Amino acid sequence: MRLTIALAAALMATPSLAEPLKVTAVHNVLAVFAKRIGGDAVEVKMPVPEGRDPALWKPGIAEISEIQQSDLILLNGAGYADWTAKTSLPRSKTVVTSKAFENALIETEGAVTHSHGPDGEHAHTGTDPHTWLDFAQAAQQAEAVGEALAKRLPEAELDTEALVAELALLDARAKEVASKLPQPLIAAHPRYAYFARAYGLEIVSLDWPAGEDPEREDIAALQELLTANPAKVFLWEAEPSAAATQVLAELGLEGVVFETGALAGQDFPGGAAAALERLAALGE
Amino acid sequence: MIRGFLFLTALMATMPAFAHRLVIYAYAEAGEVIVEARFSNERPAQIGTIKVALEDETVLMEVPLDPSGETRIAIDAAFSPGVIVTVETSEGHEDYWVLTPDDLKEAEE
Repeated sequence: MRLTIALAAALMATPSLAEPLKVTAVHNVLAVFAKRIGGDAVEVKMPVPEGRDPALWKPGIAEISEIQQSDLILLNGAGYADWTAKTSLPRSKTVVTSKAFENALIETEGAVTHSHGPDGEHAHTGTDPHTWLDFAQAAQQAEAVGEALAKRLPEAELDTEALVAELALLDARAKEVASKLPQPLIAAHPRYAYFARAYGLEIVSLDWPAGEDPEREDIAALQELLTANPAKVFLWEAEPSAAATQVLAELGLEGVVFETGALAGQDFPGGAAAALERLAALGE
Repeated sequence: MIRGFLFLTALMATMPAFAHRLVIYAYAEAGEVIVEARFSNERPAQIGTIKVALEDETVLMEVPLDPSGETRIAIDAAFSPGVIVTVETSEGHEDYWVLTPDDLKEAEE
């Protein structure tokens, strides 16, 4: 009997046979980090449906209940996802991955309230939450994920170093690419403040809804902007329509899709690396 | 100012509601839901209402804010599926908090 119990205990302690750690991530980038680092030792959920912006998503009560049952909840911090401040998340299970650089967050100016897409009215106000687009900060967030997993999975083989090294290379490449880019750049939506700061870029942000064609007044505003700020490069956070691409071409702008990686199904850091190479081609 | 930029700086100057925001926190304890309502300048929200509603927006209860900034509401059996507690103040500020069934169970006597 004692041998049976001892054998059962030994088997349960073996990471490969223990239940995976249930991790919920507030956006896709952190979900990717957790999966890359934890491998089979983790079961990672990013509960936001595909096509919805995790920054604006509001979970229902049942969804919050499920998130509360996670073993580990990875938050971005910097005000990302309002819902995380509207309900109790167990403190012992919650990690704010941007804590290491909380004194270096970027405050946005003014309150811009508007409505577009399935998530309806929202405002660009307070702190810019897209912290991981400074790839050195992304590496710090990856380290925070790695530390949280190591604490809860002391026996598991975790691979934080490889991910951090990849992000360090991305950071170095971004510096190299940015140094040769014609400036300023124009962005369809205010997402790239950390990218701009980290890599010495001037990025002027519009507020065009992703995936929708710009209206006549939007185009007029862009023309006026270009008069004062001659630019060659336009950043889209999602693939634009053919009509929108045509508008840019007529204005002498080259469009580059630079997804943030936060939405379900997006590729990070691969998508960011690909965007950098497209930008690199424009800087030559 | 370029029309494409939707900054409302002028509006912010004329609408005090944007100068500070309402922050609420709710929890369940000893058979009550306790709602703390303060502005971001730490002052308690004194005039307004608290609505306790189900997720489908059915309002279960509506009570006035306690001027101390802390309002206590006896938990009703109807709260059990989880509730959304919304505070609206007289100046037009609004904030909400979600209490799940597990949050409410913690208050069972």
